[in-house]
Amino acid sequence: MSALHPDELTARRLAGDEPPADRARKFDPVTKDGTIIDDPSVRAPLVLGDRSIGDVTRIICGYVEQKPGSWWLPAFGVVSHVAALAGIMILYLAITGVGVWGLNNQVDWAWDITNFVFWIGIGHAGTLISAILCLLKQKWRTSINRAAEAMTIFAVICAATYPGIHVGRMWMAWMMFPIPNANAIWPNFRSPLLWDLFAVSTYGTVSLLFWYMGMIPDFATLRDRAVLRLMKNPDGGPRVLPFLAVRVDTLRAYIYGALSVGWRFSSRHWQHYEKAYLILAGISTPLVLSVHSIVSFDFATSVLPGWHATIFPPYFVAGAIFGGFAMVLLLMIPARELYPNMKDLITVRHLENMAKIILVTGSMVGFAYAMEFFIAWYSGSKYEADVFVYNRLMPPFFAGEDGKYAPYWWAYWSMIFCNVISPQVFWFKAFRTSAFWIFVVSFLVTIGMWFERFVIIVTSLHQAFVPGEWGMFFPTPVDILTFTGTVGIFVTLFMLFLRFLPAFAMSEIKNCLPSASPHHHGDGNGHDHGHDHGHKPAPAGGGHH
Amino acid sequence: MSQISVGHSGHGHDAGHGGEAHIAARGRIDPALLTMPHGAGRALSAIFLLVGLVAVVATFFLGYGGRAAQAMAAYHMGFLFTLGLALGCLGITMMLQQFNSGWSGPVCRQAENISSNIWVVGLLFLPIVVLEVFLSHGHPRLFHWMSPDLLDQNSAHYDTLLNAKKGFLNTNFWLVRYVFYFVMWMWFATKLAGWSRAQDRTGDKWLTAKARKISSVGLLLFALSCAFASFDYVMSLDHHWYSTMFGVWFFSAAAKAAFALIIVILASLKLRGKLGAAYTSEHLHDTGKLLFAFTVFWAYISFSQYFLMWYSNIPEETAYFNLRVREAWQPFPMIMVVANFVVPFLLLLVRNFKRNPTILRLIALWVLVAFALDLYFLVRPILRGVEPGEGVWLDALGILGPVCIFLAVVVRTVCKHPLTLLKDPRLHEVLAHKNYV
Repeated sequence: MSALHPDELTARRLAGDEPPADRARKFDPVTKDGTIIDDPSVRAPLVLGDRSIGDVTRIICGYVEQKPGSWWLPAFGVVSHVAALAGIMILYLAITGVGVWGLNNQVDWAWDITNFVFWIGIGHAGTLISAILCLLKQKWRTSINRAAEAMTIFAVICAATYPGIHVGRMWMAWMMFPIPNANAIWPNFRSPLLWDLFAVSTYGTVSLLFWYMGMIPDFATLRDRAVLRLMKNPDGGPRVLPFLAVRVDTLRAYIYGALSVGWRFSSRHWQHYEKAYLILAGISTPLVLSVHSIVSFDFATSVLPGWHATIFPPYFVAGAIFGGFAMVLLLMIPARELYPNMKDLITVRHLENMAKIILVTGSMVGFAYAMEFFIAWYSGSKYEADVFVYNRLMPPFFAGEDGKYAPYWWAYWSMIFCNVISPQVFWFKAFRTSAFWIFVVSFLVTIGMWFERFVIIVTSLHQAFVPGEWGMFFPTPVDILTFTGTVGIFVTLFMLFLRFLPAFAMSEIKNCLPSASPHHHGDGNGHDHGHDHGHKPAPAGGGHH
Repeated sequence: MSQISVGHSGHGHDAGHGGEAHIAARGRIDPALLTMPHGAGRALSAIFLLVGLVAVVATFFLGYGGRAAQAMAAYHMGFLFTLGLALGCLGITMMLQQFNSGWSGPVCRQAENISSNIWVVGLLFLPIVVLEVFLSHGHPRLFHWMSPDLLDQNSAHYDTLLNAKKGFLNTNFWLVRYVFYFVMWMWFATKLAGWSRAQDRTGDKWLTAKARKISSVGLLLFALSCAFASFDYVMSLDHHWYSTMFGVWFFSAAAKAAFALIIVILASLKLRGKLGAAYTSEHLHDTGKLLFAFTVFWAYISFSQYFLMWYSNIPEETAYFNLRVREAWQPFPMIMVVANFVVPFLLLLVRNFKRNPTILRLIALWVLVAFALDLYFLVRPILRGVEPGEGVWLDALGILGPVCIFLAVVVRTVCKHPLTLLKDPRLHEVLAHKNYV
């Protein structure tokens, strides 16, 4: 291959049409991809493959601009069909009535609230990563924050569906808002369910703003790249459809142009952006704690044994972060395999850090289970103790002479196994640095966190104070398919996100590159792959080309 | 004489050169700024010790003069204050290790200095153990559940609820736990502080990795022991009452106070012209932010615990708060909210306050006083016959005693060791630390 003139190379770079080089990665049994470093004096690199600032732009924009692999369309077809299931089931529910669900007079909250809390919990990791880890100056968050924020929005969408369709006459759901109406009916402001409405809608709004604001500079990059391609090649390029005279890049220029709201990469813009980011991080931090605390109030303000525990707020928050991180990993580990060069951005170190967070939050959840159990006994309250032993814990094969056992023991033990026991493998480095095992544990954790909500809600209700009100809950096919459908909605939205929106925060990742540091090559710490310094561009603050 | 002053009096350039030379080699900091001169802090420590001993003796005599229960409660508050400081610092040390935190050398060092004195706290508890367990003649004054009368089925005072929890609340097990907690805390605290001081001499970076490793297990044990200790020493004072949140609550209060003490120490050193680039207004700013975070965390936990009990209004639970809002205690909950949350919250929002050592130290001192109030609110109402204003000198002396004795040893420890981690492998991060916004 003939060598290019350097000017030509620069011109091609500016136009963004140089394909990203798929570099061979070194793999080492000890340091894995070079990021698992025990030495406390070395900080692991956050971006691998000696990427330049321009490389980062090309890799990330490539996910949007280039055709995805051949797996994309079939996979999308499947998940969007699954998503459609939710629509069909909701339609069926609206036509027929809540009787198509399995809940009954004894267990009057069951599947839908379980799923609501499950999805809301999933949404917490995004804001934790973008807000709390931002305030704690944890730079490793930069390569996962965007995807996690997107996931937050999608999870909130799935969650918000459930209370909406549970109100019975769902066309009256707007009455949950305190809007004056002809009947002078106001919602009950003393009910935690109403606070939930405010908490979740505020959370959804702020998360959306946070997510969108973070993407503005990246939209502008996508816009500029499309415009440059159009200018360079005014006649060619693929069209949207064979008969439609609009070219894909024109469409991109307009859509990303509108979304980037006039972003020009001026230093004044960056200054405002950074300030706004910090303010939103500051606002989101109490918000992320308040949302799941208020969700926990739905239960803990009651006098029902099994629901009324003062540890619920922080325990729910820890559980939400736990489940949310598991979901981030469930989505990003396959994405890392399927998209080119993504392993340079999400290194094994990133996975290990998230595995550690799973271990910590899983142990916090375990701590809360233990406290609940201990205090149920310590309180001397017979009902409290019985809820734990005879509604949750006791399997039939250990039942005493009276033959009493907990009918939902399998749910309880699934929860304990998935949430408390399975993450303990992350004490061992071999497990927490293996993408495969992290994926397996994340999968178990996701199941476990679903069971946790099921255990809290259903097992506390099904045998409460009065034996005459005892009953069992079993989901109907409609219940199960509705939940499956929301999983489909979630994955569909996430796949669309990866296809059409910038999946990584480019400017933030660039700030983590060694070349972005004013001390670059200064005192020799950081990584020093000495081989191709030649083409490294000058560290321009946030410059995108 | 510490190895450090040897370092800068001439051995600075041989193979095992002193730590300040290590920092000084980077041309950023004067080595003399990182150690206290020989004999420094002795006077302060002696004053603290003297005040502490006088206060303890006075508490004892005032108690002997007819206010035994109040004297013991007051002393117990003082003990809990020191326990909170030492335990909070142990947790902070382990958390900083777990986070791989690079900026926090001086914070880590002071947290180690405070927590490595946890043995003093263990000893300070001995008088209570002796008085309650061995000299109470069946009539304990603080831990009423120790009274055998309550478990006697034929007695008029028989307590069914206590009978249900006697598997946990019994004197022998309580004593075993006391020994177990303190031995474990001492082991972790001395190990962590010891390794960090050894690193000052040897520069062995793997000690940091070792500390990180044991901190992971340490935090797990810490969480459990801290929670159960809070049940043992605070919650069981009202032995009918229970709250699943209590362990978390105690940790939040302790960590807040412990962090405030770290700030007081560091800001005082800064105001004496010490620390230089190892603790600048940038570090002050970040420690101020963390104090803010701990304040909000305390408020979140306290509010959640109170609110859930208030809303549910179950008599077993609200009895606890009824006791604390009756009659003269009525203004107390509001005082608590203002002192522990509103004031530090508003003050710590101001950027310049966090970056100014004088003001930040004042705020941290306020937080410490508020912690004492917090303990007063927890412990003192159990003396049902004694109103809040009554014998306030006794309460103050009782708290001052253990606190001053503890501070006396802390001051000695602070002055004995280098003021920051000298050869931490991430030292350059300490010196280069900046807040970008």
